[in-house]
Amino acid sequence: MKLVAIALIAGLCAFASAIDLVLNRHASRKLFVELQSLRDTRQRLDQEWGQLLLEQATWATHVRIESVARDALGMVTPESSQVFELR
Amino acid sequence: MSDRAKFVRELKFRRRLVVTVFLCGAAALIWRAVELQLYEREFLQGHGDARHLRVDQIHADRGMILDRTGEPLAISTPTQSAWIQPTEFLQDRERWPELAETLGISVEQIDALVLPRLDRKFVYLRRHLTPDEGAAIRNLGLAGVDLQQEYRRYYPAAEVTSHVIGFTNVDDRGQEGVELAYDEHLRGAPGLRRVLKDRLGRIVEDVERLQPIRPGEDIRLSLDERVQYVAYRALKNAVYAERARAGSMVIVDPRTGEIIAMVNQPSYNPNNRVDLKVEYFRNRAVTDLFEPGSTMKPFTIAIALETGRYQPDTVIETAPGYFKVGRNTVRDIKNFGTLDVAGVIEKSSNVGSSKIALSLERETLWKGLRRFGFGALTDVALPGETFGHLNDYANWSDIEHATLAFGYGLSVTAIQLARAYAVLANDGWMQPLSILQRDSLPPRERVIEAGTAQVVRRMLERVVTNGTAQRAQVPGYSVAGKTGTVHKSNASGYAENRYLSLFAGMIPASKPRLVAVVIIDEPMAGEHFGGRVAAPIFATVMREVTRILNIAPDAAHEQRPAATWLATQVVQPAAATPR
Repeated sequence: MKLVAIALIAGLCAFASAIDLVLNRHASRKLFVELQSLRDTRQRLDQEWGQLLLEQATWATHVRIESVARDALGMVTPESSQVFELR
Repeated sequence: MSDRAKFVRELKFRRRLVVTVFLCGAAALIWRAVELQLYEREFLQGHGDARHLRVDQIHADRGMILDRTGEPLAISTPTQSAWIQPTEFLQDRERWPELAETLGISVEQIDALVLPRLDRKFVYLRRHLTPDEGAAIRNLGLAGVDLQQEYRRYYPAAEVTSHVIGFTNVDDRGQEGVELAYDEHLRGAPGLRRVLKDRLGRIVEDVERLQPIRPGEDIRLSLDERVQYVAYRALKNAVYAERARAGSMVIVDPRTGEIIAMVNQPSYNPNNRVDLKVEYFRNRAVTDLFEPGSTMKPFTIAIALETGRYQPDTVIETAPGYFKVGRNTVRDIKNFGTLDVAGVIEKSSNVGSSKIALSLERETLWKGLRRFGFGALTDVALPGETFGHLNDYANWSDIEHATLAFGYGLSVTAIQLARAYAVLANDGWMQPLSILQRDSLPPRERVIEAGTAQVVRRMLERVVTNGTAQRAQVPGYSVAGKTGTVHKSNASGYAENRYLSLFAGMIPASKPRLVAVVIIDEPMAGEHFGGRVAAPIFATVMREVTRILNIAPDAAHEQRPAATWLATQVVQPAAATPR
């Protein structure tokens, strides 16, 4: 009688642990999918950052800055006689 | 036997039958399970893995190339490439015209691409599409056409930095310049992992890491993009105005050996390399050899001063403006009469410097020149650097011994000449050159005494104030430098009307922060003297660069006292804006 009870409990435990395994497995997959999508996001953001950097560099090309300064804003380089040193 | 007893037996029999059948079934199932688990396990596992286990490559981004201030000079961005699987693609043939229209090519061109390659499984349709093209192709949804993520390099500074940076090919491998020299470093290594994929191709589990990913590292160059731009613009304008064949300029920080700018003409746009001649790709400052001509004289003088047999005021007789060495004659452009050593440099007398050189032991002169780095490579790891030529002194003829003094009979590259001038600028220390930004200085080497270097610098200052290089003057700064005008040699000797205009100088002369070498190859607009063609480029560039790099002026120049200026700037109380 005792033996039967032990076997029964053991069986139940085995069953419970099996169910738990399945649940954990499922949770792990779900978390993995999330991790994967976060990685994708990170890569996308990295790439976007690269592109923005590129865009910034393109807007800030010296040729462009110079032409804006000279033509649009009418700026000039000061003559050396116009430069004062403060020491 | 009653009917009832018969019935009971019948039931018992049925029960046993049912139980037996069930037991048999259970046994069969158990056996099958055992069979699957034990005997066919390997086979089944193998097939399962083959269907769902995949080795996935994790892309390693190529590192950026930055200038010393952190401005990006080369960046990778993702693009898409269209590829086709020919057999599948063939089934949608009636829709090819739509695709052709999207790509802007003819159907015949698609035929020519696909039909000879039907046995392949993967053919590139077009690489590096624009985002719009990629979206258009995706929207067409043709069978057998697919997009693949790839990476493309962009160079924001384009032709201003192209020779130093180089470029990568369509497979993102370095082909020229820093991209080639530091390819391994920039590229990194892709990671490999084994993953479990589901029916739809989604990754559901990371099984194991086969190879860790090593992302490409960024590289920080010693170049300053702002200086690079100023130098590029000045050189380009000059080469155009002088109708020259080519030109180069190198700017070095003598204290650290870092190359601050390196530009060449003609240049190219690395973002669009269609229809370019290979010669445009050449980084002339590193690959092209030339005879340094008169820019060599300061080194002859420095070596002579080091022997102790000459002082700056030692008198040299250069009259009548020529003298014979064996069957050859060394000439000056005119008779300078009696000069001191400083005057030899200031007037750039060939006769004077030859006489000084001939009075030195061949070995002394040769060893001295070697110490200045002539005939040796620099430490700049750029592809294609050429060894300068400096013949062994055992093989010198008398005339070679004499002409070396004014820069004929040996050859250098622009960066090798810049390195030698950096020694004069850095009080006699040679600091190995570098194209990468330096955190700490490598061991340096003493070439000449600090005192000798300062004496030669003062002589070079006189060249700029009174001598041949007056056009190299920069208001507010003392400048030291030397011009050179070199007859170009060709197979049959020295060409009569083909010249190289040179200037090598440093600023501020009292405590040099920058050394620059300017070369204009075959100026054709009438002028060819280094003092007229190359020296003004130095001045143009340095006027701006001293401002950009915040180099304090060291020469007094006429200006209103700062106090007067300040007085004009006093803000009236009424106009003052509260902060």
